[in-house]
Amino acid sequence: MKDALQVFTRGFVSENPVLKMLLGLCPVLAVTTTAENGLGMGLATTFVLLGSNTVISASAKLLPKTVRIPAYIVVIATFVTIVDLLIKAFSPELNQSLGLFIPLIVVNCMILGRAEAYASKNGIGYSIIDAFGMGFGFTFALLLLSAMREVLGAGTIFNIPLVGEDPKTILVMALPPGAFAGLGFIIAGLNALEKKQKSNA
Amino acid sequence: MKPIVVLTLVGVISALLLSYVYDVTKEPIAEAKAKMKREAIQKIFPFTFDSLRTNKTEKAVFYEAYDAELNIKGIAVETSTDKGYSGNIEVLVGVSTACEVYNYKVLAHAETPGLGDKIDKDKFKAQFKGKGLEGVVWKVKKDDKDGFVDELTAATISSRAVTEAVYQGLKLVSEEYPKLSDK
Repeated sequence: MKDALQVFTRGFVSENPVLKMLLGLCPVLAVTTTAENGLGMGLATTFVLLGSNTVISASAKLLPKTVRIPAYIVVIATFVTIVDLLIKAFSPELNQSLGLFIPLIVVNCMILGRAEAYASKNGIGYSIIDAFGMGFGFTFALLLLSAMREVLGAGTIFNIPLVGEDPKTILVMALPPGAFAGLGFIIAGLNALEKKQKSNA
Repeated sequence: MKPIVVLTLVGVISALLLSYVYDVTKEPIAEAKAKMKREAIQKIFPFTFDSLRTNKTEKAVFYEAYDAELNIKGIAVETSTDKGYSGNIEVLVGVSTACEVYNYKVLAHAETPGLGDKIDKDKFKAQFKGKGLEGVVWKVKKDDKDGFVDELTAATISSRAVTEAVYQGLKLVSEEYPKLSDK
């Protein structure tokens, strides 16, 4: 039980895919202009990760070593296409802002990374927990970065204005350089916190 | 098992699953698309319309909005321009029966977030309201002092492109429906 909890929580901080392992940065940098987009992308990725981890851990023994990677990619691409169709059908608004980036989840190396490094070597139960932990960790990082960029760059949060119409904002935060800078500050802050904790202990 | 058998199986199972999901979502996707179009058209008209008729010509696609008695209330037209700061800007222009602009909606653009994307803000859009073809200089003020469009700060190119696109839309409607302005 303690083991399962550890598998779940490490995705948040100690092995956070974005903030610690720096995996899957393409969507992280591209879609985090508003908190809504960040959250949507995070949840879509979590769903794909959950599907691919489950299927891959269940079928790991059946897959010959030589073709495992192509098989993983087919599984991942299938789940991504399912997510793409579902979003188009039931959330057209989200599709308008995220549509372009959903197919890119296929090449999110975090998902393939979890399939190869964890799901193929562990049971279904733990793989599902791992998918939730990593997925929520990914979503958490995206939400943090996108909320920061939306507040500083557009003066809104979840499209709700914080300081009235047409505020003076730090425009660069809404632009691509803001994504790099914002992510850098978050990682630096996290590292500084950890260093402090270590020296206290 | 041989690798080739396994990969084939994986592919077949995926294809079956996807064809099922595609089948299930086909109708909701078509409905969602139609609904979004209708809502977009509704937003650029100040009145609520009862029915829409699509008029596809070689030049453009027109959407005629009718009230319950089948009187034409307004026409929307899709136009695009490649004069944006980055890539095409697609707009949907709503035109009144007096051949004046009601409003427009940006359907697709890739302008700079925070600068050029203000072309979709109400404050900028409001300038175009009630403007017709006669006696109006369709230029931004920076280019022509008689122009009526206050260009957006640091986004003159985007402002110019939208002005042009809305003007094109208005012209298309006046050419397709020459009788409108007589009413």
